[in-house]
Amino acid sequence: MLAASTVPAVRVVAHPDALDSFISSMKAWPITKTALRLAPDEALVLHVDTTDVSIPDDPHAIVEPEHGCSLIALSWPEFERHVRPLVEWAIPPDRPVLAQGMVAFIPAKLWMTTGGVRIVVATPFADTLLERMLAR
Amino acid sequence: MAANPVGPASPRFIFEGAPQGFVPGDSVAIAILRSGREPGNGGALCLTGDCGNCLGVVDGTAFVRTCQTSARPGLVADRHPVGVAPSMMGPATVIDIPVRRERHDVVIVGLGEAGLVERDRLVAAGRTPRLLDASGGEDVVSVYDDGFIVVRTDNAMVHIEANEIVLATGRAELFPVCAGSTLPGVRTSGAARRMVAAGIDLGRAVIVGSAGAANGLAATRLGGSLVRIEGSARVEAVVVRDAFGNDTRVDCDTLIADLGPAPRDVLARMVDDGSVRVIGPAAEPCALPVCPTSGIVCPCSGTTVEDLDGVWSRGFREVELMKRASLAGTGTCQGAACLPHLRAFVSAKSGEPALPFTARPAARQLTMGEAGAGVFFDAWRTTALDAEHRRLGANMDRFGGWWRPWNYGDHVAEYWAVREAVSIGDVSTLGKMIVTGPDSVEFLERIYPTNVADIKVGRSRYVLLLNERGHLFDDGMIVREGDTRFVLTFTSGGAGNAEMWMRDWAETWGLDVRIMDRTMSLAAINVTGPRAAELLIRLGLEEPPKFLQHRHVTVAGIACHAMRLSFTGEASWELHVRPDHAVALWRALMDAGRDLGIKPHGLQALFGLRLEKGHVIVGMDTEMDTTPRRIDHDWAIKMNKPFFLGQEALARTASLPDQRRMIALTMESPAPVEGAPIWLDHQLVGHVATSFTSPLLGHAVMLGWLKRGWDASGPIPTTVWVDGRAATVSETPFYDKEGGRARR
Repeated sequence: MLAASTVPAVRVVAHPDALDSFISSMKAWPITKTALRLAPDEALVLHVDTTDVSIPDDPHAIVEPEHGCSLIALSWPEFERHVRPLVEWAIPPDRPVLAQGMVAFIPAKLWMTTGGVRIVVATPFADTLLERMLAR
Repeated sequence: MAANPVGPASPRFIFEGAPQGFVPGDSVAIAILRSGREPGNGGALCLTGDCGNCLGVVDGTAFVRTCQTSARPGLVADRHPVGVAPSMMGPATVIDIPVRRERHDVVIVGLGEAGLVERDRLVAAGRTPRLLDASGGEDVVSVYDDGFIVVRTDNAMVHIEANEIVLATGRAELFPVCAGSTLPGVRTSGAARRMVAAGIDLGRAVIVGSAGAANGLAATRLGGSLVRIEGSARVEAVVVRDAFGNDTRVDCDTLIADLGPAPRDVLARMVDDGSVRVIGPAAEPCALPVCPTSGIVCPCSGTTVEDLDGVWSRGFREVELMKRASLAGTGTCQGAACLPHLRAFVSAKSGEPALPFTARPAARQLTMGEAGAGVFFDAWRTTALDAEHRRLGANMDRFGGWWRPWNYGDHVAEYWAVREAVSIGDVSTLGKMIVTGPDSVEFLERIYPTNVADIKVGRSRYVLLLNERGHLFDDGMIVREGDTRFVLTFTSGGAGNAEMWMRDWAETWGLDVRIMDRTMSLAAINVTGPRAAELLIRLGLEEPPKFLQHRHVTVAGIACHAMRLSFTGEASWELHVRPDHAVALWRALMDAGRDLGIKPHGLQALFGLRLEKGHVIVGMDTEMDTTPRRIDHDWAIKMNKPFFLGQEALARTASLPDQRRMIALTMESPAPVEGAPIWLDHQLVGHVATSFTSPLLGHAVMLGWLKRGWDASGPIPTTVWVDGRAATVSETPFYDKEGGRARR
């Protein structure tokens, strides 16, 4: 059964070069700790807390715990059934890839790997998104 | 004559409450016609889906073209009721229609001769056209600019994006317009052929017109022009007129109209851009019929020639205007039947060629489920406290993109809890943002019209947000956390645009700042009332921040960012907290405040509380072009700053006369409705923006607008009229003018 669960995360806004360095350093981290690059100067790092994240190259970086995100994990068959009909834009073919856009008219972030899709959505939208997905 | 192929063993559907046999492959209309009855309530039948004369109710859904609906066992069909609109309440099971989305290089609509030739040409050119034809179960109902097509199938809607659309929809036939043309028994040539092919006896059939489409049909061709069709319940005779003006009456059972072709161009008339190409007969001009002189021109809307005369006499002289004024062409067929006749009418009257009018999607009737397939309402967000509000019996409503408590059953009791005891409210919906960076002070100085640099760390300031024209579009607080770190708040409705606004200007000015939107990352609870401080102290906050101060603290063991400000007019602290801790904090506040008389308050009470203080709600009290001067907020503007957004516009307009002023009003209860007109000397001078019957003051308080009809060079009037009652122009705040209660 599909469900939305809150996910521990840290949101980072920093100078793009500093963020590049930080994300490069994450390559040695466990694979569960994923950095979603939302913008050149912004990343959402999943399954970490603020003690895991430091941006030494940018003293003005904003590093904040993020408790307002929910995660919906889907297999590819579940994605094809419940999500793809609700997406009006072209799904990028690369894997892994982060795609950001509207799903059923709700802003969402899709982290797509060969193993499946994780949808990250602001928790205030999560129930409605799930309701619309499960109507399929 | 062929024997009736329908026998006792034939499959059946239900028509008008009785079994109706059919031959597999029949449309519903053909099956009904075979029984000697009519599928609709009269009018020339085309049986090609062009007209709206076979519309019926099929399986509970009205406005279904029975000629395009395959007969099947179990189907239930009825004619539309006569003289009244059919019920639009279709079966609930059709609400959830799936949508398939496709993208193609090129799409061909219509697989007649022209469409097949085009298909072969495109394939030879190495392209792969997507082929769509109603006979294949894919009925194109809408074409939009930019290459977007909506297709209806039996089990889904298909939304197609294409680089190129080729419309090869062919031709329809002209329908007769004269007295009696809506009698059952009138057929186009094509319809007559289909009926004959289905073994249906046309009886004594006559052909009027000489276009040639009826050649070969077993019917008597009449010379001359059609004058009228006679009959009581169906066609009994036709009257034709020869070249010498002599009329001849001929008895008949069926009139076959062989009047010539009309382009099947409904889809083509929906778009006007380069993504659509019309080919074949659909693109070829057709001769217009003679100007109609009597009868129903538009069967869908019931528009008569007399109606067109009336519209013309009122000065509507173009086809598009005639359409809007007479409603001809606005029905389910979007002019397929009536457009040639309307054009003929306008051409004859004006002596000028009359171009076709545009068509609106959809070209076919759609259920609401089909039309809305794949389309969603805006999603209304829920705060972390949503379930808690509902558990407490809150009446929830939508505001600023969120579900929020309107009241918890008694907004007056909630009001008094704020004024006399303590109350909590969910303000999680407020916009929240962090700004840092070496240029953060300079950046905020440019964004806001107030001074920013002199806000001390640990302090906050109320701010307006102006656009380049000096118009107010939001307000909020600047909260300083460090030399270069700030927390900004915005209204719930304004938060959506705030991040974009800030980021755009940071980029434009090339300033080195970091911006993080936290609106949906934090919950917030406002603790307000004369006993609010006592409550917070009980929960471990020994020294609540003073007015316009803020601090990161712990309340009931829960980490919060406490900001002291006031929207209600009472001492208030906003506690910004992790969303997953919000319910625990809420319950701790409610439990600890029980003996203090705590109650939660909703927006209904809050709107009244803030109105008593004269606090403006941007977007409710203000308009798109409200300036600080118009709402008497010049105190929030520092024109001597080097620069801020909107400064130049405010400087330019400062000396101009301006009749638009927000005023405060009081009057006897009850409060007038919001939006009520304001009158002065029997002139409409403005309207009430927001109003509230104050329980404490015992009368109505309002904010309203003076907009015109008063002498702005003189003093503001002292008395105006609202709802036929005198209202006194007052000053804000209406309550606690010294502001001591918020600061104590």
